[in-house]
Amino acid sequence: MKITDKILSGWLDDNLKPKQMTAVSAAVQSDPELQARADALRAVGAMLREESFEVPVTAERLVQDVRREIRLKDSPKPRGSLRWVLAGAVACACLVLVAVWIPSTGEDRVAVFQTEIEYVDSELSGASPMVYTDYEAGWTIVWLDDVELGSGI
Amino acid sequence: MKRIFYILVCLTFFGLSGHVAAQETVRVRVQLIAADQAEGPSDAALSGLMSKLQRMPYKRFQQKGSKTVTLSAGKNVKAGVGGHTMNLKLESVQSGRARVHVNWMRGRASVVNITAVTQPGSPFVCGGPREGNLTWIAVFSVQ
Repeated sequence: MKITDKILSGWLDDNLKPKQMTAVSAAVQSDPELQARADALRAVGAMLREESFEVPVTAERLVQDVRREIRLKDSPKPRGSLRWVLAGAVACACLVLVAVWIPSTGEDRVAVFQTEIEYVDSELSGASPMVYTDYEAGWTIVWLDDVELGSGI
Repeated sequence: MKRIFYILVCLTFFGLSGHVAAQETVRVRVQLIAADQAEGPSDAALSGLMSKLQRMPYKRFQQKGSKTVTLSAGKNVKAGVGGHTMNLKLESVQSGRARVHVNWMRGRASVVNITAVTQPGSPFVCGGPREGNLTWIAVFSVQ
C-alpha cells in the first residue's frame, strides 16, 4: 500500500478506518522514512496550533467590521427569533380557529338548512313522489301517495 | 427558531388534514316505521321522533327496524332494516353537507330512489307505501 501524506495525516488524526489504522501503524514502525514523514507532519500540526497570525488591519476590513456592527444592531438575533415564534403562534392560532369555526358554523346552519332532495324516482306503478318541507317539524319529506307495495312487487 | 415555526405549522396542517379526512365518512341512521290508524301506544323507541311523527295523519307508530351505517365516499352499503333493504351511497361531502343516494327496496321491487343533500340535525323522511293497513315510513338521519 502506498502511503500518501493524506493517509499519513489521517492516521495522525485517528481518522482512518480501523483496518487502515493498523496497516499504517505497522508500516510507520517498520519504515524509518515513513516515521520521519510522520514526525514532520506532527511538527507542522503543532506549529500551526501554536502560532497565531496577526491579520493586517486594512480599510476594507474596517468597513466590513462597521457594516457587521450596524447589521447586528439593526436586527438583533433574539428579536428575530421571537418574531418567528410569534408568527408561528399567530399562524397556528388562525388555523385552529378556522378548524373550530368550520364545524361550528355548520351547526349554526342546522336551524336554517333543510335537507335538499335533488332527485326522487319510484318504480312502483302509479307512484308519484311529492317532496315538501315540514318547517315546524324540521324535516324534509318525500311522500309516495296511494302506493300499495304489493302492487309493484 | 425557524425549525420550530415550520414544525408547528406542519403539526397544525396534520391536525387539520385529520379533521378533513374524518369528514370523508358519514354515519347515517335509518329507522323504518310502520304507521297505522289503530289505537294504542306507539313504540317507546320513537320517543325522540314522536313530536314530528304525530304531525302525520296516523295514530300509532311502531319501529320495525333501526340501523346505523357508516358510509364512505363512493361505496355502496346495503342495510337490511325491518325486512326492507336500504342501499345507501355517499356521493360527496362538501361544506359539512353530505350528498347521499338512497335506494329503498322491498323484495325485488325498488320502492324509491332518492338523492338528498343533508347534514346532521336535518333528517329526511320517505313514506307513503302501504302494505295492508300499514304505511311504511323511513327516517334517514346523518350523524
